[in-house]
Order: sequence, then structure tokens, then C-alpha cells
Amino acid sequence: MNAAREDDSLRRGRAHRRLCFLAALLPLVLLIASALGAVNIGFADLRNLVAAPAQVPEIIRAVFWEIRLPRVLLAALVGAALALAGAGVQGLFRNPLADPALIGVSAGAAVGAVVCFFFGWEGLLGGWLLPLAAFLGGWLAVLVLGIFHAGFAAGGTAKLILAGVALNAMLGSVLGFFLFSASDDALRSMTFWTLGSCASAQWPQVVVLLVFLAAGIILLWRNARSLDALQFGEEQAAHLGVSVPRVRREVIVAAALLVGAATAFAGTIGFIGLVAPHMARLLLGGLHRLVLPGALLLGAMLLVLADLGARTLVAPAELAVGILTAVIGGPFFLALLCRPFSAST
Amino acid sequence: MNQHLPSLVAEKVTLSREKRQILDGVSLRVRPGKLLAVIGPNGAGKSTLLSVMSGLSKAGSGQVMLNGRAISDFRPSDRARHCAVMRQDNARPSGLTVLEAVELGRLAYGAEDDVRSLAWEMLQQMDLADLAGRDCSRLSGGEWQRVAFARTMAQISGGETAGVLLLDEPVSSLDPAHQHQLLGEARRLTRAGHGVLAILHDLNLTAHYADEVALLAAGRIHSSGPVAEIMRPAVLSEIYGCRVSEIREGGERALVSFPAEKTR
Repeated sequence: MNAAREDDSLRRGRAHRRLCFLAALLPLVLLIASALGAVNIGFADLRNLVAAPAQVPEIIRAVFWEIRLPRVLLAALVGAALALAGAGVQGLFRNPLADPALIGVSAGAAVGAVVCFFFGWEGLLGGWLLPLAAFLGGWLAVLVLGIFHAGFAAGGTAKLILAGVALNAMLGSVLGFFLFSASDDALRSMTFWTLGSCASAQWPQVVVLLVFLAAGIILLWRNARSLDALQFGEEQAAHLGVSVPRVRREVIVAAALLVGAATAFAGTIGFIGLVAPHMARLLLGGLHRLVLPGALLLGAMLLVLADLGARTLVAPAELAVGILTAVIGGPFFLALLCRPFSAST
Repeated sequence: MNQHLPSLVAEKVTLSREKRQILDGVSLRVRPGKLLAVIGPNGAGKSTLLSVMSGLSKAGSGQVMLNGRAISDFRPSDRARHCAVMRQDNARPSGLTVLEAVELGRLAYGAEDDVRSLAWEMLQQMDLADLAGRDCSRLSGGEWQRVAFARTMAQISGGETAGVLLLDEPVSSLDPAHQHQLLGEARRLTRAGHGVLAILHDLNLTAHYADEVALLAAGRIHSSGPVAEIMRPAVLSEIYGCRVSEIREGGERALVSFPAEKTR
């Protein structure tokens, strides 16, 4: 009995230490990613950027503050948002293969963006029409899903998944139609957009995304315990006091806000929303009060590293970051699956 | 403590799905300090009745009252503090430990300081302390059933007022010793003033542990009352369609079943 209690507190301690480690690792990753790029910034310069800006060459200062830092932060926020949405949706659907794309928000956003490119509107409103159209497209898709779901006789989560699959297929057709009919130039822009990129990063985007991330964090955090209980099944969770329809609504709204905003600024980036929550569960166990922050940190780091690769691997050209997320995340994920890293041994 | 609490009452509950009548005018009362066993053949409507009485399914007509208030008026978290339910189709969450699963029994109570010690207490009562750190997905069916019961106990224990427990075949995966252990704990809860409704199939266990029995057949209460009145071999043989006999040993009475027809 006492041994069991000791084991339990050891296990909890280990999970918390791992979360703290991830939290400490993120600033380090951000720092390294801000130092490296087309122009490498030495660590002495990095320190002086804050401590003694006058000693840093003008060009380095401009690169760091205007280009590098917003881009690294945008990558971190996009990764965090996608991973957090993934953790919420996987918990809600009790399906480790669930992806935030399942609720149609990414496909809807893609349609919104592709329409913009199709009509050559991407530069309008000072470049803000594109993210706006993507965000609205994503929300429209989720709204349609919600209306259909409300119309089902018995609106369980299983039907929501199936409706999401159908919606995704329909949006895929719309997407295909625009890709098919687009001019070569527009097609190129569309293709790049659907592979994802953080190249559009500027401070206003960073601030907007930060607001959305905060909203998503609040919505998901207050449902963390309910998501734990949902793992017993929806009916049993209801018996434990969970208002299942409310949790479902809030998690989906959170995921739509997070993925919608992330996709609006960075295009569709796959894999992070699926894999970062998994990594968090493998490292930290299944409690959502650990999984949510863990996924957020891991997602942020994964995308910052992927974006670093996108910027540097074929410099001065640039790769689409969506190509790299799987290349970087995949092997890491496989290693986690193989090694005895599990949180509950 | 209020003398009349807790109580869960079904009054003339009727429910049909897709033109099939599942429950037909069922009236039932879970009393404080009593263990009410609901028995009956497969498909009699037992689980549906439990679903209606727990407030999750709506009755077509009739009503369910929890502590004198319509159960549909309760918010889920309110309801969960007065009425704990152990379902048959309890999914086993992977990634949660046994202790974490039991702690989730206290979900409806918000932040509490002593959740962990209460959960440990429940685990010890069910002889599960050694499994506390085990991932739920790695439990055997019987172990998981005991964990689910420990969670259900945690949900209703430790409060100032007594509550109602609804158990859907709580011992279906257990070996005989653990069947007795679990139902013994259920009976101990009634001693503490809680009301328990358990759907059971084992006639012998029913006769041993229940205070009252309701015999459900084809969506209706065939008969209900004290165990000795209802659990008569002739009635049971007729309802189940197999031969039920009574064995007496010392002062104790046991019910055993045999195939309907002798093959020889």
C-alpha cells in the first residue's frame, strides 16, 4: 500500500518534471531558431540585442526584430495552436487518430484561401483579405457541420466524425474545382499555400494569433477534467456530471478558433495536430491537464524546428514547411513509440 | 440528514423506440438504506430502465423523481452528486491510471483537497491499492469492473448526504469471491444510508444481497417486493424459461438453475 502510494507520487513527479523540462526547452529552441537563418546571428550579438543594442550592427538588428523574431514566434504560435486543437479533438472523439482537420476547418480555410488566389484578391486589404477569407472559410465549414449535427436525430460524437468526413470530401471537391480551373500562377500560389509557410510573419499576425491562442487555451483548459471523464464514454461521463453537449461545443469552437487562425496565417500544415498530442500522452500520461500544455509546447517546438529547416536547408530558396513537419516529427514520434518512454510504467 | 433522502422514484414510466414498447408503466422506488435488485430475462428492458432512472434517457410518459424533484430538472453535475451510475459499457481509458480513474468519480464536486485520499480509501476497500499505478487499458475485465465500482463509490461517498447508486450488472465479469466482495460493499453502502439499485442476473447473489427485488419481464414489472416473496422457484422458472430450484444449507437458502428440459 505504502509502496503503491510512493510509486504513484513518483509517477506524478516524473510527469511534472517532464512538463517543466519541455517548458524550459521551448525558450532554448526559440533562441537557437532566432539565431540561425540566411543571416546567422552570433550569440554575443543575440545577447547584445537586448543588453546593448548600440553595439549590434544595424542590419542585424533589423533582421532580428523585423524578420527573424516575428517569424520564429509565428511558427511557435501556429504549432502550439495546431497541437492544442489536436489534443482537444482527440480527447473529445476518444480517437487517437482524430485530427483537427476532421471537423472541416482546414478544408474550409483552404477553400477560402484558394478562392482568394483564384480571383487574384490575395493582396487586397493590405494582404489581410487572404487570412480573413481562410478564417471565414474554416468557420463556415464548422458552422455547416454544427447545423447538420444539430439536425441529426441522435447527435452523438460518432455521427459528428462521419459528418466531418463527408464535409471534408465535399470541400475537397470544391478545392479540386478551383485548382483545376486556376491559371498557372494562381495554381502555384495555391499549391504553396496548401503546403504551409510561416514566411508572411509580421508582428500584427503574431499578436492576432496570440489572442486566438489565449482564447483556445481558456476554452480547452476549463474542459480538461471533462475530457478526462469522456474517456469512459459519453454516457458514463454524463453520469459523472459532465455536460457532454456543452463540452463538445466548446472543444469544437476552440479547435475551430485555433486551427482557423493558424491556417489563416500559415496555410494548411498537417501532422502537428495529430502527432504532438500523441507525444505529450506518451511522455506525460493521459490527464488533459498535462496533455494540453505538453502538446502546446511540443507543437510549438516542432513547428519552429520545421520552419528553421524550411528557411535554411535550401537557402537562399525556401522549402514549404508542411513538407518538413512530417520529416522532423515522424522519426521523433517513431522513436517515442519504440523506446520505453511511457509515462505509466 | 433528511430521513426521506435519498430517494429515486420511477412513476409509470413508459418508453417505446421505433414502435417497439420497451418499458410499459414501470413504477419503482429506490429507498434509502435498501438494496433493490432488478432481475429479469435478457431484453426485458432492465438497462433501458436504468438509463431512464439515471436521467440520461427521457421517458415517453411517466416521470422519474430524484429526491422529490424531476430528474430532468437537475444539471448534470448536480445530478451526479446525488446519483452515481455504473454502466455496463464503461470504456477503459488508455493513458489513465487506476487511481486517476477513481479520482474522476469526484468530477462533479469541483476542486477538493482530499480527492486523492478518498480515492485511495476506495481502492483499499476493493483490494485494488496494488493496481493504483496501472494503466486502465492493461486491466483484466474483472479488475476494470472493480475499478469502475470504486469510482462509483468515490462519487457518492464522503458527502454529507446519502445518495443513490445505480449499478448495471456490476458483477458480470467477476469471480465468485469478488462478486461477494463487490455486493458486500454495495450492502455496506446501504447501511450508511445510501439507496442502491442493481441489475443482476445471478439469482443466488440476488437472494443473498438484495433487500427488495423487482422482476422485470417484457418491459413490465411482473412483481416486486421483499426477496422471500418474489424469489420463488416456481415464478422464476416461469419467467426465465428454465428450471430454478431452492437449496437449503444450514440457515441459508440458495437458488440454482437447471436447463429447461431434461435431455434424457
